[in-house]
Formats: sequence, C-alpha cells, structure tokens
Amino acid sequence: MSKYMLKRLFSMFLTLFVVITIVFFLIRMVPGDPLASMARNLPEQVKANFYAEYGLDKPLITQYFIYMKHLLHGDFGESLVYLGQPIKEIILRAIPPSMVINIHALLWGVTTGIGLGILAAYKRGKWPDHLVMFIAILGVSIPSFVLATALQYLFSVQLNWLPTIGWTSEPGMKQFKYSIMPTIALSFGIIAVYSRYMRASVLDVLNQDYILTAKAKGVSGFSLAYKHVLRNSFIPAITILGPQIAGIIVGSFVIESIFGIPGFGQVYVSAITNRDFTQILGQTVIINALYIFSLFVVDIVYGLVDPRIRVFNK
Amino acid sequence: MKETLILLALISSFYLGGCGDNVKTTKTTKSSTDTRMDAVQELHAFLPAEPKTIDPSKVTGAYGNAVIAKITESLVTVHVGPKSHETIVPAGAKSWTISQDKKVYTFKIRDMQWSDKKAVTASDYAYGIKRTLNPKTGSLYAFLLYPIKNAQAFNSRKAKRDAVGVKVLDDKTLQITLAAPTPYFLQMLTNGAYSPQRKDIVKKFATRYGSRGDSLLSCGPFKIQKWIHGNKIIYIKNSGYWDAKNVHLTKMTFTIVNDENARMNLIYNGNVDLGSVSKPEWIKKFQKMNVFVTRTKYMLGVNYINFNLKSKYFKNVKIRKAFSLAQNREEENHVMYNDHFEPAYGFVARGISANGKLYENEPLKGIKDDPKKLLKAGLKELGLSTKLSKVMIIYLASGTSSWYRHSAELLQQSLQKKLGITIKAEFVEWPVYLDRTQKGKYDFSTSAWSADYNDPNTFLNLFTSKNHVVNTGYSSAKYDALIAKANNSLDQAKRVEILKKAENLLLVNDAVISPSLYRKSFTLIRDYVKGFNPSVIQAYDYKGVYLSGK
Repeated sequence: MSKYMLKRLFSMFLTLFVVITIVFFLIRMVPGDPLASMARNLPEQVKANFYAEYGLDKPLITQYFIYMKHLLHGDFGESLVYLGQPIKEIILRAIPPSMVINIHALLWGVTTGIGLGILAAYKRGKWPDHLVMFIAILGVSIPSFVLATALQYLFSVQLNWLPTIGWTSEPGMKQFKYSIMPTIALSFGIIAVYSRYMRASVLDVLNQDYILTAKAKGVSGFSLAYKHVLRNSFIPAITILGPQIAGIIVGSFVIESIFGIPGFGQVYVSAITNRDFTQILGQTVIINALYIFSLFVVDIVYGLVDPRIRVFNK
Repeated sequence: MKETLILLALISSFYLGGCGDNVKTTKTTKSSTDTRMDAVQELHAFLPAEPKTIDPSKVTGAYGNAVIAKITESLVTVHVGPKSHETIVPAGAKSWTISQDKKVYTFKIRDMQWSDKKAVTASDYAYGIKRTLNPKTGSLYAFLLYPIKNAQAFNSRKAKRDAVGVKVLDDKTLQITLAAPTPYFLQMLTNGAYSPQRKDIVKKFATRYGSRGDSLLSCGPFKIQKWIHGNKIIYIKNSGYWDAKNVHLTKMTFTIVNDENARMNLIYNGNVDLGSVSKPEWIKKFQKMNVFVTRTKYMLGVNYINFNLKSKYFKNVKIRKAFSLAQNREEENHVMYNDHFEPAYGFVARGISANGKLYENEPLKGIKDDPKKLLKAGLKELGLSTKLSKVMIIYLASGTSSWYRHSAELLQQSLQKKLGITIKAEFVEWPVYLDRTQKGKYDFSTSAWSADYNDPNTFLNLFTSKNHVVNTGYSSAKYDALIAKANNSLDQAKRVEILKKAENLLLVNDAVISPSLYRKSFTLIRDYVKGFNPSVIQAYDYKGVYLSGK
C-alpha cells in the first residue's frame, strides 16, 4: 500500500510541476504584461524601473527558477497589479463567495440529479423517464451562461424579484437572494449529468447477475434497492463528484463574471486580463493541486464502495 | 501668514456657497441658501473599482489618487472659485516664494501633524518626493517629478539621490530647484506622487505599505478607518487635521461596486448620496426624478485617431489630412455618446488652462479642403493607383466588446462614405493593442489621452521626438523646438502663443493625429449634499462637503 501511495504521490507532484512550468512560459508568450492593466502607455524609464523592481527584467528562465524556489517555500509571491498584496490573501478572499454558490449548486444539483436518475431507471420507458431525459438533454445542451442570462431577464428585469447581479460578504437573506440565480444556472448542468449517469448505472446494475441472485435469495424491495442496486450504482457518480468537489473552491469563471460574484473564478479571469503573472500562476497551482488531489481521493473511495476495485495490495 | 488666513477664510466661504457656472441645477427643492447642517454627517458613495494600491509613490489611476487626496495634504491645492475659476492656494505649505529665474521654489511648511501626533516636516515632503523618484521604488508616475533638477537622472540611475534638487533647509522649510522654469510646476504638486511620507512607516510596512488601510498615516482631512479589500473603504474625520473646522463630514463610506448597473441602482435607490454616471439613458432617468443636481465637467481628456506614420498609406501627410477632415465628429458624438461629449477640433482637451485662462485653440475648425481630392493627391505622391475602390486600410480597435464593434462600424461607414475607400476593422484585446501600437504594427487606431496636470504641455509633450508613449513614428525637429521654446519662455502669454503654434503644426501641417471628441463627465448629486466642488484635475478630498436636509 505505502509503495502505491508513494508512487501516486510522486506522479501527483510531477504532474503539478509540469503544469506550472507550462503555464509559466505560456502566459509569457501572450502579448502584454502587468502594465497593460493601466489604461495608458507610460514613458520607457518608469516602465524599466517597474520591471526591475518586480524582477520582470531578468531572463525568463531566471525568473522561472526564482518563482519555483519561492513556491517550494510555500510563497506564492505578491500581485503585480494590486501592489503589495500577497497572492495568498487575494485567493483566500475569493474562495468564500465561490464556495457558497458552488456548495448550493452541488447539493441541489447532485441530490436532484441522483433522485431523478433513479426515478427514470425504475420507470424506464414510462413518462417520468421521458421527462427526466428531456430535462437532461436540455441541461447538457443549454450552456450555463445562456440560462444565466435568461434567468436574469425573467427574474430581475421582468418580474423584479431578484437582484440582477451582485454579492455581499455577510451571510444572510441578502446573500441568499444573490445566490439563487447563480445556483440554478450552475446546478442545471449538474442535474442533467447526474440524472443520466444514475439512470444508466442503475439500469446496468439491475441487469447484473448478482441482482438476479439476490432476488432469487428472496431479498426484495427497499433492501434490494439500497444494499445492492444503489450502492453499486454510485460508482460512476463518484468519479465525477471528486473533481466537482474540488470545483467548489475554484468556482465558475463564466457564472461568477455574469453575476458579478467576486469569487475565485472572477479573480482568475481578471488576473488573466490584467496579465497579473503571479496571480495567474498562484491560482493555477491551487486549481491543479485540488484536481489532482481529488482524483487521488476518488481512487481510494472507489475501493471503499466497490470491493472489486482494489488500489492497494492487501 | 495673516494674508493666508484671510485667503483661507475666503476659500471656506466659497466652498459653502460653491456652485460653478458649469453646474446645471435640474431642480433645487430646498433653498440654496439653507446652510443648516444635519446632525448626522455621514456620506455614502461608491468606487467603480478597488484601488490597486494607495502607496503615494506607486499609485496609478484615479481610484488610488482619490484615496490619497483624502488622507494627505499636498503642498498646494486647487481652489475652485466662482465660474469654476481655478487657482492654486496654500495647503501643506502655508506660503512660498519663487526665485527670479523661476527655478527655485521655497516652501514654508504649515504646523500640522500626522495621525500619530508627530509633526509633519519638510523632510517628510522631501522623503516622499525622493522615494517616488528612487528607481528602486518602481514608481510608474515618477515622470511627473521630472521637472525637478536631476530628477530624471536619479530615476534613470544616472545621478545620486543627493543630486536631486530637493533640499530641507530646516524642519519647516523645503526648497525645490527645477531643471527649467516650468510654469505648471505648482499644478503638478497637487498630484499624489508629491505627497509627504513618513520614512519610519514606509520601512515598517515594507512591501505592504499602501496595500492595507492601516499601513499609512494620515495628515489630510480624513483618515481610513477600514479598507475591506474588494468591498469598501470607510473614512472618518481626522480630528487632528489643521483645518478640521472646515471638514464637516464625520464619516464617509465608499463601497466598491464593479458593475455599472449595480452602481446606477445605488444612485437610484438613494443608497449613495452621489455618483458619476456615463450612460445617457441613466442621466435622463435620474434628471426626471428631480432630486439631483447634475454636475457636468470636462474630464480633461480627448479621444483621437492616431496614424502610423511608418505605414504604407499614412506616411503621406495628405492622406492623413484627408482622414482627419473626413472624420464625422458630430455624428460620433451623437451616435456613440448621445451628444454628451463635444466634437474636438483641437488636441489639447477643453478645460485645460494656461496663463490663468482657459486654453482655447481648435486648429481644425473651418478647414474646408475636400478630403477625397487630398487623398487622391496623396496616393499620387506615393506613386500608388488613385483608384479609390482598390485602397484597403485596416483599423485597429483597442477592445473586443460590442461597444468597440459598434464604434468601429460607425467610423468605417463615415470614412468609407466620404473617402470612397475600404476600411477593415481588426479587434484585439487591450494588452495586445498596446503591444501592437508600441511596435508600430498597425495602420491607424483610436486612442484617448487624459491630462496628468492642468497645462497644454501634458498633451503636446506627447508628440515630441523623445517621448515614446504614443508611437506614431512622428519626429519633427521643428515641433520639438517649439515645445522647448515654449517651456523655457518666462513670458506666459508668449508661451501660450508658441504652444498654439505647435498644436497647429501637429494637427494641420503634419496631421499626425486627428482629435475626435472632448470627454465630459457627469456626476449626479442628491440635492441635500452641499459644498461639493471638485477641481477639474485634482482628486477630490471632500473637504467642505456637508449634508443639509437629508
């Protein structure tokens, strides 16, 4: 087991290292630098001083080694646009709004999706099945930003029930109101994916020999559904749930921008527009570390759910 | 000293009565002579974006400067009198003298204190200036200090710190020596880059200096109580301020709201007491509510077309001139801005002053040449076919949003109609635009320029050969000589005449750029907010503002 863990850990760090390296050089190939966040051009001399002060005048490869050295010490550096502000603080500020929206969306989306999926499977070929699959197709094919804009038009412009955009950092009714539309916009796709996965998976399990055996042994009703069908059907759902949990922190670039939520995604997008190199890299590291780690956790959870999958040698 | 006091008393009364003639009052529900103040003096407003930093040496852009103006006392300040006439008056310096050759300024620093009760000294001002100039600070606005002797050299690592023409004669006397007489030098002192700074505080906070609300001391009318990043900045009155009796607001809350619609809703709902509005439909909507005073102001900015003088067609002056004359400024103002800006026939923005008067010069007005004929003559000079339908020129747009597309379409249409050629538009993101124009990889594009200080030089200096801020490829010894001659001239009236000559050369004879619109701003103020009277250029400190009848 420990050998496997070590191997996995090593490959995780290798992946992370490769990603950081690629991103570091890629963002430097895009035209523009942090001074592009200003609405004007500046005299050469002051630009040169700025580059020197923030180490941007050194050869790219030197900058890379300096960055990696700091990163190994857990130092993400400082923003090149919001001067003096540590990247760590900016990221920590951006996580809570993303988390609120995404936890709402995930809870709502996953439970509804799984419920609908199971319903569709058990009522295969009947109208509930058709209805669920219709919702699922809509959910997959309508992009979240289209839904978001439609929601804004309906609930804010026409009905004037909810604020079009905005956010407050204080939890409460006001924050809840701001979170309703982004939650719906984000969860629609999740519902679609989970209901389809669950439906397929439940149907697959229902056709397995061990269900026949269980039925023959006289297991029936709730016990059969819970112990034998559902537990086994959750495996595919877990595969996609892992990265989605990581996504709670990362947020949604598009939805956060549309609804003006100052979350991780929006900060990332504006860092890219501003060419805030350290900010882009810092967030890239976080995103990738989370994804890689979540996949690792998924592997372990697999084993717990399905005894056929054993990642460790006993 | 006595004179200063009288002057200050006068200023205060102006603040209280303060309405310039460019302020259109849509409706005043209460008598304007009502000067009774409310018991609660708390103002609410917004900032459209988070300041990137409030370190006076590193600050860039309006939002950071807006903070610095409230918490520091510049050596001098701008006083806005009747008819919006602006004059420089004492602030951090209670008085000053200027030498005969206009190169040596000696300031007497006022008795005042920092928010930790320590006295503000001449050394704090000297330290602030030298810190901005220190190349190690990486200040992006250090160039605003270049009129000071050896400042540019120090900033370029070619001179020592001590060589800079800033001397502390004693605790309360500061002497600044300039490289050349600079008629607008006092104007420049109102910029945040000249702010006094405390060495011990800068050292204490190191890189965090100016990145948090508690990392700076105040010597201005307000101090920062709290800066919640990305959310709001709360100020409270600085009771230790030397002129505290003329600071009426006890608290100001500036909420940071990035989204324009959300900002407009704040104004509409009365959640803020005032706010700037740019969209014409909103201005109209607010004015109908009859609870606002609309303040219209020149932004000291100008939109213009810049030609690449190294490109295939625009290396010819006649072709450039043809474009300049073909531009339909009135139509652009009407379609894109609902007539809220003003057509520009000069490059120095409306609202700029020189020699104590508004600078007025519109060289392109009244030129009646036929653009098509000019274009054909230009093509002939270049040895190209004069078949206009075969000419195709690319316009580089500095953004990709629908607004840029709309604006480019309009420009394409009007130029194509008047000139009979094909204009194609290419849309790029702003950083890419900067990169392309800097490297001269474009035919023509549109830009905007805003004044750094209130003098025509902030516009005209852009096109001298040594200045590479806007890369048009223009280099004219004649133009350079005119600008140099103007700035060394001690006779102010003569100087303005020379500057006008230079502007004529730039726009008419050489047609390097083609100005399109003078920018204006609109601030809607609830009618219970009194004494709001900012200058055209200096960031506003809200001193003198009070609430009456909220």
